[in-house]
Amino acid sequence: MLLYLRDLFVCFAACFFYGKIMAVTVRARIPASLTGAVSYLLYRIIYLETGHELTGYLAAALLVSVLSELLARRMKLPATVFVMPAIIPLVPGVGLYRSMLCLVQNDFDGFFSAGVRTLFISGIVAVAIAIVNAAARHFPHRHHEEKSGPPSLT
Amino acid sequence: MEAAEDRTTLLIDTAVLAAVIILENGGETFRAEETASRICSAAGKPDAEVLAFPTGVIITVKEENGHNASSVVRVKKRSINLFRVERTNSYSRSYESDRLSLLELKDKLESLRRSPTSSKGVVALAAALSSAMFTLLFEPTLEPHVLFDLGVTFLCTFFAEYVCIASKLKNSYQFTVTFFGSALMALIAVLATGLAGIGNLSCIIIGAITPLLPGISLTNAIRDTVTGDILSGTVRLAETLLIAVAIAGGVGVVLAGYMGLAGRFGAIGGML
Repeated sequence: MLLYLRDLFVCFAACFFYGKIMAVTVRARIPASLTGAVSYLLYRIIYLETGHELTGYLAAALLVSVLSELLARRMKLPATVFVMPAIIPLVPGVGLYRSMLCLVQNDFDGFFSAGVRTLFISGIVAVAIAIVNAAARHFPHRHHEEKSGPPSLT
Repeated sequence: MEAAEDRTTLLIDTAVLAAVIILENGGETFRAEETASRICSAAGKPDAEVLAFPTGVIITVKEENGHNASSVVRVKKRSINLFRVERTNSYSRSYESDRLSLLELKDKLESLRRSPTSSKGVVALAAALSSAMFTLLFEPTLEPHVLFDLGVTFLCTFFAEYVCIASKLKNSYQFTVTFFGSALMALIAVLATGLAGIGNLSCIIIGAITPLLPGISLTNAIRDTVTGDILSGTVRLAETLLIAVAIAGGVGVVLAGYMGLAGRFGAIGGML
């Protein structure tokens, strides 16, 4: 339970700072980081409770993209602004590291199993986002008004 | 006649500029094409043809006298600044709904392209904080040495980002810089854990490389492919793989050397 809570808070902070690198405005970054944190938590819960890693990634990526499309419509911004910071915790850096480590240790079996797993995870995450994005383009997107309000805080 | 030609030139320049800003700052290819086409349609040229790919834009517009006017622009530097993508999008929509004139749109886009970006230090600081958080996220347990890991991750990312990644080199030699950046991170991590004798080297390195991971190119690659832009999709996919290999190679070289030394002296094994 404590670890889940840690995941939620830490993931929010990680996405928030990552969004800064990509110059996402603070107004968009806070909901985007929340999306990222909640989705990562969903992945963790599915993975730790059922042991299905790929299902966890798929569900989390779908959640990221659906929430981002909803936020995009509500805040009248392109969905990319929300997807990009939120997806980072789901990019399998651990898998990349593990496969590299196996290669360095001349463990080719380990390299192939970790590498294929990493490839599959990143593929599933990207495809989930792309599918939801493609589907969302069929729903009418109300054109957004240009904001002359507060200046951006990038 | 003159006026019509001037207007077409202005239109092409503006549409190309919008597409270039989107491509330069990490937007998707279809977004660049769509934005340029929308600007042309709104200006009364619905038959304008736009072809965009990650490294360039081509636009052709038919003039009143039947001639084709076109423009080719090469996109040289590519980085990620979603603020500019978002603004370009909203300016072009304002133009569509007649709240901006073509000239105003061009001015706004030009000043947007020159708008200041965050300084190197701020970017490095954000990256360092972000990777420290990722290290904390990947730690299996919460023990006191986690704090040490956090500190080391912060230091290696800050240092590597500041020296390599945030430098101007990044745009032209992205793979080389990514390779040396991740090697530098791994080196600092190995030195720190080796000297202090505590800490989880795997977690430090995984956290440190996370901001470098090509998640955005991958997502854009698949998105471009799904929307039918297979050329851009393939190009971006190749970019993604190369960046991943550069990261793995940079870290791998250092770790291989470290393990070679550890094997020879037999003292620092069991750290991984």
